Amino acid sequence: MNVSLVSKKKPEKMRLNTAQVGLGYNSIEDFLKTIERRAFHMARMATGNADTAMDIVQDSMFKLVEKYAHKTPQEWKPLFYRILNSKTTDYYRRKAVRDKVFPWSKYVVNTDSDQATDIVDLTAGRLSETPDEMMMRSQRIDKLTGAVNALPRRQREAFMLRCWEGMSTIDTAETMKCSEGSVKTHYSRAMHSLRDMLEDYNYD
Amino acid sequence: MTNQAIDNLQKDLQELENNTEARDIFRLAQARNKALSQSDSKQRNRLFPALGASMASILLVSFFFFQQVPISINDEFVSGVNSEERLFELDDENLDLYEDLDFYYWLATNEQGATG
Repeated sequence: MNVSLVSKKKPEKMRLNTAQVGLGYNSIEDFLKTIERRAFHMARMATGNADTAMDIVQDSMFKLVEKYAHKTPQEWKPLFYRILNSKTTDYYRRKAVRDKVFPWSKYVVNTDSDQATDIVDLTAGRLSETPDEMMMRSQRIDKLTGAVNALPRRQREAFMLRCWEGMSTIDTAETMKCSEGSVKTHYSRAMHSLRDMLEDYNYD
Repeated sequence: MTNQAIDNLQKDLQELENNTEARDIFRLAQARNKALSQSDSKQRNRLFPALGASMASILLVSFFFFQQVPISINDEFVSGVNSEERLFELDDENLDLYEDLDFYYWLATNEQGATG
């Protein structure tokens, strides 16, 4: 397939000796492989649209490879998430302008496949789970997606980086270009909002 | 939010990531490979201006070179073969001088013979 043909060229040039660092990736290709799915779901939660999320992730990958491939692997993650957040913000700005210029576009039905497809069809099969459990999990994830999407932008960024990506407060502050105190405030407020919206998660 | 709730939330987020649809995984792989292969095409793109500039300079030089050659041919052509045409451009005094040129040439050779 084309994909495998193209992928064999580049990593040789960008391979860096970082095995001793213990990051789990030693080239920019490996880094992108480890991060792409999470980034995609983060962008999808933020935008509510899979195609837009895919575009944002692709743009972020392009920019990282183009501008920051020469940086050390430790710097890639904060840089990538900074780019991702910046691209997401750009999307919101463009959307705001579009909504002002074409006010009726807000009322156009979203034809994204996420909305049209049944959530059961989107859930991958798991042998250890009963259909009921699968259904419940899908509903929880659906609710979680809605709740995260409803958060203010900075709170959502703080939540995703801290809770999902597991970044430290320092790294999150560097990624979000703000102080550690601001990160703590955003994260705390995000968790407070989510607690109200996601009561289903208080199970053992 | 309790720690238990946060753990459950993280578990679900991880599940969401693990259960990414095959179609999305394929598109992500495509996006990644496009991003990784871009620097090759960038290097190619960087060569284009240099190649274009050198080609343009070669064309310019060759244009001036070939334009100068016909001019010199014309000069020789005018001065040599078509000398009669040039006579029309001369005024009367110079025309008389040109017509008596054979006489002056004969005179000069005779004088040289007389002195020699």
